[in-house]
Amino acid sequence: MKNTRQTKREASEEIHEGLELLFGSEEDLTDEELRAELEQVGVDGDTLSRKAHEYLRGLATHQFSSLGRDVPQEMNVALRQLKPPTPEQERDRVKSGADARVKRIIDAARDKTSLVLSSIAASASVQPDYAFRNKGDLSESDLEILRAGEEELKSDPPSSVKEERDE
Amino acid sequence: MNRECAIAVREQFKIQGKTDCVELARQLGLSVREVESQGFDGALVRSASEMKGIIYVKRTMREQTRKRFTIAHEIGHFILHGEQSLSCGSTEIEAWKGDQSNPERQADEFASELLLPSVEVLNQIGSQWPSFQLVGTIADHFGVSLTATARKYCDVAPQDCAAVWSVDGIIRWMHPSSHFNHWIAVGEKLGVDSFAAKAFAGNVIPQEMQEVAAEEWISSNWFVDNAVIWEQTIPMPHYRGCLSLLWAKRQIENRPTEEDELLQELDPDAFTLRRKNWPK
Repeated sequence: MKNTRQTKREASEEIHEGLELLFGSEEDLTDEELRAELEQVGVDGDTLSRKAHEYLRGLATHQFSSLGRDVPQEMNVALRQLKPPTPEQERDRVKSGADARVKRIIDAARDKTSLVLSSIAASASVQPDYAFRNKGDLSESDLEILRAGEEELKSDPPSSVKEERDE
Repeated sequence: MNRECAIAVREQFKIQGKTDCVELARQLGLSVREVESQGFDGALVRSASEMKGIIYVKRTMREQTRKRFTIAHEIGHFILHGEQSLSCGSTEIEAWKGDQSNPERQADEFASELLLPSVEVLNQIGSQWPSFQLVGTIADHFGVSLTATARKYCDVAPQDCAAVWSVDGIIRWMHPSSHFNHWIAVGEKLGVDSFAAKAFAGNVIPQEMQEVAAEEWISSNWFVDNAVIWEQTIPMPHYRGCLSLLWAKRQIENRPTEEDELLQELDPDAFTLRRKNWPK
């Protein structure tokens, strides 16, 4: 018969394996890439970190510190990693995040073969999408303009294919 | 992140001074086209799977500066927002409002910083006092509208300033500097002796900053004696509007501090047997 500790370890390993299968291993992604991936699926990385920190801190306080027990080392590490940044750290983080984002987009624009969106997002949609400024009711001629643009983007083969053809 | 992304774009493309929006769009894989649109000023149609897209701009927009801002706004969507379908109506644009997480507000902030980099604007301001002459010089230098420049001016200027837009004699929005802590009632009529109200009444108004009674613009119970505010107004008849720049050069209010209010609450007579009246 398996003891409880062994069962827990096996369950934990299974969860880790499952997570790796779903999201890739921890080493595969930088923090910025992970943030971008989360953003693509509608999760704000900052809020997630803040909530996780709040939850863990509550757990550490109520289940350990206030009962006179040592907070487990892994929990301490996680608390340190998730600790909300100071204003200076936050400024640096926002700046480096913006630099990385813009660099990624510019690199993708220069290197015609690369895609800016994550693999998840790209495979989920091949439709063009829109953003408007000062939008009112769209007339038939407006819709025609947009449809033509949409068709143009759809029919225009990916730049990589175009370059191959040119060669 | 919005401003920072615009700063990063300027750094990456080594943009100094005026931004060539069409060229920038091209470098990002976007083509810009003017069209005879009726229902939008600007639109971005982009591929969800590749770095390309088309920015449409309404041909009949009067000012080139507005077209440039529209292109910069759409570039902002392209950089900041993954693949959300977005639309921005005229009400949001007029008020330029919304919370920080509003994508339209984010694209506007991006456009403002892309076209009017704060650091360079601050350098241009130097030690000059607020005026539309100064705002106009900055607007010309960066190729941006007076309105967008007045807002940016208030963002970065060290003085207590506010840009106010009114239409048909009603205040539609105000954009204060971080030091301007006075209450201007948006949605209310202009004070009759403000220069803006006089402009709406068809009178000739000064072309320089001049003093008006502070109560013409500000609602307060704590005005100091003879409180004045400096005002310069530019009429924009095409929009049936006036753009005003206000400057609280000297102290105009003497508000009770939090401590004063607390002391009043803790009046020892208020809660003792000696109290004669019920506290109001």
